[in-house]
Amino acid sequence: MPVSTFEKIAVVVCCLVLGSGAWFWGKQVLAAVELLQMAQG
Amino acid sequence: MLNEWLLALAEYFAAQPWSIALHESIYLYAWVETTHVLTLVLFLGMLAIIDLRMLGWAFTGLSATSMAERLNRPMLVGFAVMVVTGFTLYYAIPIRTTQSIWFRIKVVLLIAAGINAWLFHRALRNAGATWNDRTQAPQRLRAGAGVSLLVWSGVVFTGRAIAYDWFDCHKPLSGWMFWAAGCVQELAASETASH
Amino acid sequence: MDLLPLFDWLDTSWLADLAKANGGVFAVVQMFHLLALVVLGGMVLVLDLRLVGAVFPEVPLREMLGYTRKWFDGALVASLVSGVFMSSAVAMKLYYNEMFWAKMTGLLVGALFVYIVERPLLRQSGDDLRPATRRLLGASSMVIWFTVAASGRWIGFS
Repeated sequence: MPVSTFEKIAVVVCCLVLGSGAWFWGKQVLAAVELLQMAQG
Repeated sequence: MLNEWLLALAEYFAAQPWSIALHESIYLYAWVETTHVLTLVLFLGMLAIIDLRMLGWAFTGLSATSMAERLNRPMLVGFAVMVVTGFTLYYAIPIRTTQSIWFRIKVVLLIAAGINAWLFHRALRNAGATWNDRTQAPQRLRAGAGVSLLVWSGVVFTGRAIAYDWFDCHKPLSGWMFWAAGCVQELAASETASH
Repeated sequence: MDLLPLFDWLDTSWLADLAKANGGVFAVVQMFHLLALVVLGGMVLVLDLRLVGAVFPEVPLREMLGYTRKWFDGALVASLVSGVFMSSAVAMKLYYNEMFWAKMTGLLVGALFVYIVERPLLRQSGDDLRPATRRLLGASSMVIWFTVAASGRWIGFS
């Protein structure tokens, strides 16, 4: 069965969501690491 | 007495390096607490779904025992994390937690939930698989599921209340409250004052 | 879109007076917010676990969606109502809080995702979806709602 257009759009949306999530949480982790390093240093 | 012993245990923990490290660290306590609250969703979420099925309120097209079996593993993983993070939170601030009336009620509710779960599983085994096509489980299992939802809601409520200081030992409480919350020194002081 | 006037109004509204008047009322509403979160998260999780094939692989996707739908909707409404009530008590503080906006963004994305993408797609294609698509949907859903929950908790620490 050929893949519907809707499904293709959904896949793009999912990738955007996962990408944004990775960006947001990556930022949080980096900020936390920086704070911990400042506290120890 | 029990209060003195619990306080002594808490004071012992409070002096441990890891306990001090936990409540002095910038982020560690917050991370443990966040994990505890978020994992709640996994653990209670799965449990609530099983209970709702037993009551015949959700997932009625699926076999109830099969639901209980399949969701058991994620639920128990969640429970394990809850126990570990929960103990860690107590360990980080042992004295205040021990003397929190809400924590004490929570522990009693946890024990009640455990007993209810044990009774429920025993009844589940005895009931056999004959009733799965019916929407509702047999009476005893429905009762167990209902009790489970109520008791665990109580666990969530009392757990959240621990953070509030309404009934902390340094507050002007009645003698009975001092005793119930295990405020050993404050109880002794109030008894001396009234003589 | 400047929401400051809205938050300013909320901060001094009758709702805020109610929410600020009694710490006990706020706490009880928050507890219901937590229970709603458990139901919402549970329904999301069971559907996502089904999407990635971890639980009930033999149950059709459309059927699974059917079971979780109303509970999710109800829990979402309960979360929103309790959330607005609590927000009114600390509206101005929230307006300037980064984690609050992260949570609201996640919530908006989550709602759009569920109602405009996930449900219509599952209704249209159900189990005809490619396995990779199903897993992407499940993973995206988990990331969104985890973000909402975690950033929500972190508001209290910031």
